[in-house]
Amino acid sequence: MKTFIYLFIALTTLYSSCNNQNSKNLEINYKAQTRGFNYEIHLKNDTLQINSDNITKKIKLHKTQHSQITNLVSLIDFKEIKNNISTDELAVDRAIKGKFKLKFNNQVYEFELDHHNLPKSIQQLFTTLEQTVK
Amino acid sequence: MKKLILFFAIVALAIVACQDNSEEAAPTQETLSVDMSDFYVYTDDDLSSRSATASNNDKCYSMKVLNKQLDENPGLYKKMYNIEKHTRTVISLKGKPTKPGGGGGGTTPTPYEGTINIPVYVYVVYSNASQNISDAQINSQISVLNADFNDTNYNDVPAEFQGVGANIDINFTLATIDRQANSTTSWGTNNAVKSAYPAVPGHLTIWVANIGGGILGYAQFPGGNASTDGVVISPQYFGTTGTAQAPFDKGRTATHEVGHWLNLRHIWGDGRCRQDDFVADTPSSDGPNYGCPSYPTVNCKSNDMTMNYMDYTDDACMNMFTLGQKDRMRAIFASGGARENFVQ
Repeated sequence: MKTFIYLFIALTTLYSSCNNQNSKNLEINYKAQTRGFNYEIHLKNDTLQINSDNITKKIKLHKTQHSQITNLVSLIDFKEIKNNISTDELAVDRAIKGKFKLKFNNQVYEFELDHHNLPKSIQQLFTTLEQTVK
Repeated sequence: MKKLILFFAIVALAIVACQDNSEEAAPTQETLSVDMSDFYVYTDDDLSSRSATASNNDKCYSMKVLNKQLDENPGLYKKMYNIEKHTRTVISLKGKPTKPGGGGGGTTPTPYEGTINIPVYVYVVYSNASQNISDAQINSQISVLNADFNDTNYNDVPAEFQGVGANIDINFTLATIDRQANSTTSWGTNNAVKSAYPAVPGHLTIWVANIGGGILGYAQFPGGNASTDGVVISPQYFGTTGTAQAPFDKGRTATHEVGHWLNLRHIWGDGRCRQDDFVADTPSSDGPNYGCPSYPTVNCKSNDMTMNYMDYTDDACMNMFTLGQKDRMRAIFASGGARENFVQ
């Protein structure tokens, strides 16, 4: 029985430690801005903040919320994502450039994206973050 | 050994090709009297084949996409290139004595002197009463355009920029207001509103229609499709009265978009410090300014001209075009220019 209890404590500690590690491992910064429009997402150390047209929503993530986000991020194939903003459209104000930066597991991913034409996986991540902060 | 040398040569060529900071695909088939080496093209008529911005880690990708787009539509590239070459030729001839019939084999463009008058056709496309803006609001916008394109007082800009403030000498006359009820609530930026209500030749066509998605207005450079030639502006950012909303209630969204329609680039050149707006007297910058910046705002080792209409600052905080921008805008009205028909 004692062995079982020790094993349980060890596993719980390990899980908790891993979770903390994950929360420190994930950082998301996104900013889309043009004249008259500003949208930002910031996730760092369990704090999620979304600014949309001067309205700021900020929450401290629960472990389950953080796990859900981390799982979602781990499913994204970042090699498939390409910069998709068109200079042509930016030049005549037809598009909004979103600067995306994500740090996860010692990797950094940076993209310049069309805010209204986000890659599916990024859009899904943002939708989840927006629902989480509500 | 030969294969090895060939391999290294190809790798070196690829590296050199990818190191260039600009996105141009400069033609080499002709000798030019003006420098076109920094030319890069913007297109507006193919939304499905997008080029990407030149981010640090993806320049080659950007160039490949842009070149693919141009390969698919070489006529468009040639058109844009010719407009830019014509503009630079007109500017290079400025101040030089003109010889009637001489120079350039009879193709030397003649700059247009004097006031340029542009009739304006305004579509008001509305899905509710507030979008159906009043005549007074439309007239207030025309007044702003006339004031901004005929400004002679630059005492209100920082001293270092006062010397380059310009009177563009272009007048806008309201020709027609065409009101169209439509159930579409947000038109986006894919020219849908232009397809529904085509541009009117011989006019600056302005579509006042709700764009949505955070876009205040958008434009089209000279040389594009005639049926979509003009600017689109959301009603809440049009004019100075009625439904116009602060801080974009001074009519400067239209001034900015009409600047594009007259061949002006954003003042930061839509790139980093080395990406130019093709205007010599505007300082280089590496991005737009927002809000109402305090002076001086320093980027790329010089003070930004944040009050220029082609920046992204608030309406009340922009109030100038430069002499260089004037030259670019007026060049398209010279003989052979993309908008010569307005002065014929």
